[in-house]
Parts: sequence; structure tokens; C-alpha cells
Amino acid sequence: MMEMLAKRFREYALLFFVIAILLIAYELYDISFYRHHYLSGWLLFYLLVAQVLYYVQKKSERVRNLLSIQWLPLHVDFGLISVLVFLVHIGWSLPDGSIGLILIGSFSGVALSGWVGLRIKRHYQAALGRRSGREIVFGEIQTRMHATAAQADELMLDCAARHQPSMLVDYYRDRLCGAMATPGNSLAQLTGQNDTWLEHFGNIERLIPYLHADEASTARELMRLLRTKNELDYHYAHQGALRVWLLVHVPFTAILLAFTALHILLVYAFSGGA
Amino acid sequence: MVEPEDRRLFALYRKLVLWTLLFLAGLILWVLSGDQRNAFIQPGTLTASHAGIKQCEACHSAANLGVKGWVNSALSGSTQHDTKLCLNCHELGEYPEFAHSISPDVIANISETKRAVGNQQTLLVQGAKRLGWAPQTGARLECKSCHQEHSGNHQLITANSTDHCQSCHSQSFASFEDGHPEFSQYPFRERTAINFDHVSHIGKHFDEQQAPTSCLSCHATRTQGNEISTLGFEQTCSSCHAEDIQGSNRAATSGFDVLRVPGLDTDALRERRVFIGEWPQHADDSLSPLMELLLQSDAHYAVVRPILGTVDLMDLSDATDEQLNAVATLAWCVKMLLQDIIEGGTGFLQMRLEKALGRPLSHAQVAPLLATLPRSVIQSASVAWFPSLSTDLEHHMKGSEYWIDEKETKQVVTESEASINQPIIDELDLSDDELFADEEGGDLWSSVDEAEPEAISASLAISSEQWAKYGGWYREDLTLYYRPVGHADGFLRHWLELSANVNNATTLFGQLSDPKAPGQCMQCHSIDQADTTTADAAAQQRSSITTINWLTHSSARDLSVGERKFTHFRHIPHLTLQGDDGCQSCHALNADNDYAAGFNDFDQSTFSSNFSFMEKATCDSCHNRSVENQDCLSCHQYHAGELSPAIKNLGL
Repeated sequence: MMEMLAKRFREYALLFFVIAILLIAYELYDISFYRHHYLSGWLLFYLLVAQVLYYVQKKSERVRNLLSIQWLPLHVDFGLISVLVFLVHIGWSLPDGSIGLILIGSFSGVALSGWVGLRIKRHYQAALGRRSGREIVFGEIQTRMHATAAQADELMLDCAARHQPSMLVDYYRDRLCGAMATPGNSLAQLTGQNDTWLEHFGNIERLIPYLHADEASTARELMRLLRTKNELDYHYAHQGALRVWLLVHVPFTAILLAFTALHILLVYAFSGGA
Repeated sequence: MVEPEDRRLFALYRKLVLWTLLFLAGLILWVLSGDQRNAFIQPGTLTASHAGIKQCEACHSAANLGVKGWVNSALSGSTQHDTKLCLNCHELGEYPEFAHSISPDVIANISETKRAVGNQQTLLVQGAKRLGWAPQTGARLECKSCHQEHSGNHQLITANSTDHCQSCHSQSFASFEDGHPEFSQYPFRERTAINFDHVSHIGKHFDEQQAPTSCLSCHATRTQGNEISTLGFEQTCSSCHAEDIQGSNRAATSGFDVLRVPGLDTDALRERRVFIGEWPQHADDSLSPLMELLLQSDAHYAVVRPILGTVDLMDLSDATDEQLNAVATLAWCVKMLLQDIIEGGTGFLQMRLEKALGRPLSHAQVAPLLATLPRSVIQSASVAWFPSLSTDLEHHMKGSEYWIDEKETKQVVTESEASINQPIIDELDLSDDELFADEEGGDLWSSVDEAEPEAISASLAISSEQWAKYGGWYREDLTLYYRPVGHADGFLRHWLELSANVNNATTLFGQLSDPKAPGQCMQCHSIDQADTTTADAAAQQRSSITTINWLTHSSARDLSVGERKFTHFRHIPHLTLQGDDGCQSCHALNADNDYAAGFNDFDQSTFSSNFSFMEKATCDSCHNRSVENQDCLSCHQYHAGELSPAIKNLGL
């Protein structure tokens, strides 16, 4: 634990040192009659490129092997520095030009989705780690959901053949049948407000005293399958969230890069005037 | 091992990014090719100073280009020098791209003299200098180095930080309060334009009736300007000094001698038989400087002028033949001048002046000099001085000789010329003039009777000079005078300005610029002379520019003195901070200084002020970190001097 804290301290110390050096260089540059926006702008551009390399290395083993570094911490640290450099670059105020606003919007989108993604990654990975049972691969979740749904359907068909009418079968047909094969309650799973499943468990438990003995046994088997479905929903929601936030982060990055290129072009084509 | 699900996700990202980029590229190209292009690429609203500019191309040479042109401009860096477009509207003098818009050599000289031993510059400034990032002396600075546009209409485009200033300056310091050098002769870098001794006036000349009650009796605060101005002559000085200008109190003549017949030793000329025609016997004065200037454009006079400088015109008894001939030439040149003025009028005078000055004169330059001169004045003067001027000159042109033998009252005229006298007299039509008519008709040539002018004077109740009490032209004896009308007399002022920078007119300028000369202009108005060196391919020529300070304050005068250009001070906001001493809170009278001595020469930089120099402590009692702004730009301006806006030439 202490070793981890020490490592963390070293990382943050290095980060603050780099930020301090950048700020001093910026001030020195500024008072020397150079346009500080060029310094902060190019620095920001290089930081963006370095962060894009994080995705490139994911796709390219050659790049991954080229630099033997921990990509994610670097990506996160560069992201934090980028936010500071960006604020310095825009002079801590909102520009009112169209491209400026688009750049601010896209940068904010990238930064916020990145921050959210980081929080999701740390929080949900820890949550999944704390979840009991063996690790479930994301790609197998839906297959297992279908299997669970098939088991539940078979169980209810068997029950229906033996008991006619059956309150348990009626309940399953009306309330559960449609939800068993597909992921559901994702938001409730992510927020921990899993009231729907608790309600189903409560309802089935309240039915048991009124059921035949073998019907009650079938009800308990159904509750086991429902717990499995709930577990699969939990994994699907959390592992899905870890992937879905990139659908925001990546397009915003694309927009940011496109308008950054346009911005650089305009700056150098029009920088002659004041 | 990448999961199949993840592989599908990556494929989705790829598609998403691809379509996003394609969509953006299309959107951008569509916007850039439309009417909204400029609005789209504008990085922000202009500052209030430039808010009226609607065309991007006014400041950006790339504005007229397409995207391809932008790429070329960006890669080639060709638009980095768009500073020149700024200069279309902003006139910054000869060195617009150099520090302070002045010559790098001047900056280097100032730096050399100001270089300090111990600097107190901030760590950042020290760091920038150590890194070699601080601009070097003589480096070009683009406008954008300090002025940032498109930052919103609430921003000041002239705003700048103190550290910016300090990064260049060799003598740096932390703040005005901490390290700013003590003032040097502030605020007086030169003598005042008007020679007005505050100490002697307040202590000696102001009597109880006429003493001003406060500084505002003579000075006014200008709400639009930074300066305290001086009220006009009529409101300040005229009550005591108006008569000095009009010459009412003068013992000497109150007029400026414009034309005068010089005295010649006619006896010696006659004795040596040097023919000059008629000449007033009682003439005993020298040529007036203005007449001498007019004669300089006569080729004959120009030849003999050096010889005349070696001879006493009133005593030619020992003169050589060459000197006598030179005197005769002078006499004929004077007569020719008078005759030509009568016949050619002011047009002839303008021609003579232009030849003498060596440059053409505009109507505006000539009019104040000649407009007030009536023909009748010259005519009557000519008749009084040389009654037979035309005949005289006719003889001279024909080569005949005659002279007046006063003792014998006899004219010696060759027979052939005798017949031409009468017609010329008729032409002049002076026969009815009682001043010049003669009972015997032919006696017009008998003598130039010096009693005649006296007779005219005797018949008048007041003298000509008294008649011209309120100024104008008058003739006395053998001189034609101009008496100043009052303060700011246009005639005297323009002759002074005309003669100030002309080598041929130094005598005239010396006469007019004498503080005791009629009008006494230079009693109060100072004269500055600045040496100028003109770079010439063959050699460097030194000359001096003479400037007469007609106004109490002249911006042109400010520009001529180096460091003052960098400092500005607004009196208005400081007036409420005066103590019990009023203006003397800052401007204390200094009776020990010899103020008048500063006007003994034409060098405005050698002077003693009527007031003590200000000390930094006066200012930093307020301008310190706890009370008031102490930025460099509070008191200094970057672009030195007062610069005029550049006006576009419409080619009308």
C-alpha cells in the first residue's frame, strides 16, 4: 500500500513539475514579445498527437512494442496537462469566433468524456472486481442470457404442463418472459438502484405459500435463474459502459483534430495582422 | 487477445470516426465556399478601435485567397509581414517596425547612455534575457507583438504589461515605486517657447492693479488635452505690452525700414566724374536689409557687392576707380529697382524675391509680404527721392552722361539727349504736382532739393509716423517704413519666417529678430536652431534649421527633443490633488535660476527653468503599489511623439 502511495506521489510530483516548467516557459515566452499563443498552441497540438498515439498503439502492435511505456497513465497525464495548456491558450476566457467555439466545444467533449471514462474505468472495474463469482467475458454475456432465458422458458413450460392454472407461470408470462433474453435495467445496474429485480423476487416469494410443493420448488429454481440474469445484466451494464463512453470520446476527438487542423491553417495564413 | 465483441466495437469506432471526419470536411468546405466564410473563420470580434473595419483584407493579405491560397500562405509565411497593412492607416514615421518607431541608431544611443550598473529586474525578465528571448536592439517588431486583435470589443488593443517593457530595456526595475530612476530635469527638457519670466513678473512687474489673481488668469485646463495651455495675448500680456508692439513707447522709430535710399559721397563722385544721375544730397544712411535682399537678384549688383563691402559710401575721397564704379552701379541698381517696382508691381517684387531666395514662392507665401503695399506709396516715394527717375534711367540706358553740379546749378547734358526730357516728364504727368512743379519748367533737373521733404513735413500737423499710429505704411525722409499693426502682425511674421532659413537674408533676419526691432517679436518669441546633417553622396553637409516659436506650445517642438516624446502626463485628473500651494505643489518657483540667460542663444536645450524640477517622490506618493496604478504606460507611450493618421490618397 505504502509503495503504491509513494509511486502515486512520484507521478503527481512529476506532473506538477512539468506543469510548473511549462508555465514558467510560457511566462518567459510571453514577456519576450513572442506570441505566447504559438507556444501554447503547438504544445497543445503535440499533446493531442501524443494522446492519439494511445489509440494507435491499441491497434498497432508495432507501435505498442516501439515504446515500452504504460500508455494509459501517460494518456491520462497528458490529458490533464492538455486541459491546463488549453485554458492558457484561450486566455482563460471564451472566444466568440465560430471555430473557437467549436474547438472549445469539441475539446470540452473530449476532456469531459475522457474524465468520465476514467472515472467509469476505475469505479466500474473495481465494482466488477468486488462482484462475487467468476469473471464473465463481455462477448459471452448475451449467449449466456439466451441460455438462461431458454432454461427459464423450459422450466415454466414444464410447470404449466403439471399445474393448470399456475400463478407462477402466469406471472412469468406476464412480467418476465420478454425481459429474460435481452440485457435490461442497465441504468439501474449502473446506479445500483436495482428495484425491478427486487420487486420480482419479492412477488415470487409472496406467491410461494400459495403454490403446490413442486410448484414452489419450480419458483425457487426460477428465482435462481433470475439471479443469474441479474448478474449478467450487471456485467453487461458495467462492461458495456466501459466501452460505450468511447463512442463519445472518439468522435469528439475526431472533431477536435479536424478543427485543430483548420485552426492551424487559418492562424498561419492570417497571422500577419494584429 | 481481442474479443470478437471488442473487434466489432473497434470497427464501429472506425466507421464513426470516418463518417464524422467526412461529414466535417464536407461541412467545412461548404461553409468556406459560401457567403458566411469570413464570419465563420473570424476568431473573435474586433476591439472597439477597429470595430468599423468590415473587410478582412484590410488587415490580412490572405483574406482574398481560397483554401489553396491559405495553405500556400501558411507554408510560405508570406503573410507574416502584414504589418505593412497596419501602416496603411497608422502613420508611424520612418521606422514603423523598429522599437518605439524610431531609428535603431537612436535607440542604441539612448541605451548606451541609460545603461545601468545594478538592475532590479524581475526574475522572469532576467530569465528571458538569459535565454536570449528578449528582443535584441535593432530587431524588427511586428505590430502584433504588442497589439492583439479579435479579442473582443471590451479589450484595449493598446494594453500592455510592464514586464513587456522591461524585457527590452537595459535598465530594468521592479516597479515605479521600486527602482524607477529619479527624474532628470522633468518636466522641463528645454526652455519655454515664450520668453516669459514668471519670477520677475510675479515678484517685480505685476503691480497691484494688474496682477493676476491665480495661475488660471493666464493658463487654462484643456479638457481634451493633456496640457495646461496659456491664454492668448489679448487675455494675458496686452494690457501691459500692446504699446510695445505698436511702438508707441519707443524712442527710436517704430517702423520697419523697407526701402531706403543709401547715402553716397556725391561730391567725390562728381569730382571724379563718375556719373550716377540725380541723387538726394541729404541721404546719409545705409541700404535697408530688405532692399539689399531685393538688390541681390540684380546681376550688376551681385558683381559689385563684394567691392562695396570694402568702401565707405559716405566717404569716397580715397576710393579707387573700381570702387567708384561699384558705387555708381549700386546707385543705378537702386534706381532701376524703384522703377521696376513701379512698373512691374508686386509681380516684379515676387520675381525679385524668388531670385534672391533661390526658390519659388507660393501665393500664400507672397501675399502676406506684399498685399498691403499700395502702389501710390512707392510712386510718391520714388517721386520724392528721384523726381526725374525715368529720364535719368533713359539717359543711363542710352549711355549718355550727365550729373548735377550743385554749385553751378548746371546740368551737363549732351545735345542729342536734350530733346527726350520733356516727353518723359509729360508721361509722368507731374507738371500739376505742386511738390514738383517748377516755375521755369526746365528747372526740374536743376537740383534734388533736400528742402522739399522738410517742406512737406512742415506743412503737416503730425509726422508720418504719428499718422501711422495704428500701423501700416509711411515714409519719412528717404526711408519707406512699415509699422506693425499689433500683436501677430502678418507682415512682420512672414518676413521673419521667410528670412529665417535663407542664407542671403541673414542681415534681414538679424534686423527683424533683434528683440528691440520694431514689433519686438523676439522680445518674447524664442528662436530655436537645430543642426541637421544631410547625408550626401559626396560629403555630409551640416546646416541649421531655424524655427521661430510663435505659439506657447508646439508639438513640432516636442518632436525635436528626444526623450520627452516618451512621456505623457494628463493634468486634468491630477488637478484635484493639489495641496494648499495650488499649482506650486508640483511647480515650485525657483528664484535662483537665471531664466533669461536661456534665451541668449538659439539653443533651446541650454536653459534655466523658472520652476524647480519635479522629483519622483512627488509622484510615487500616489503611484505606489498600495494606492495607484504604476504601469509603465501610465506615464510613458510606446510610439514616440505625436503621429498623424495616414490618410488615403484618393487620387482626386
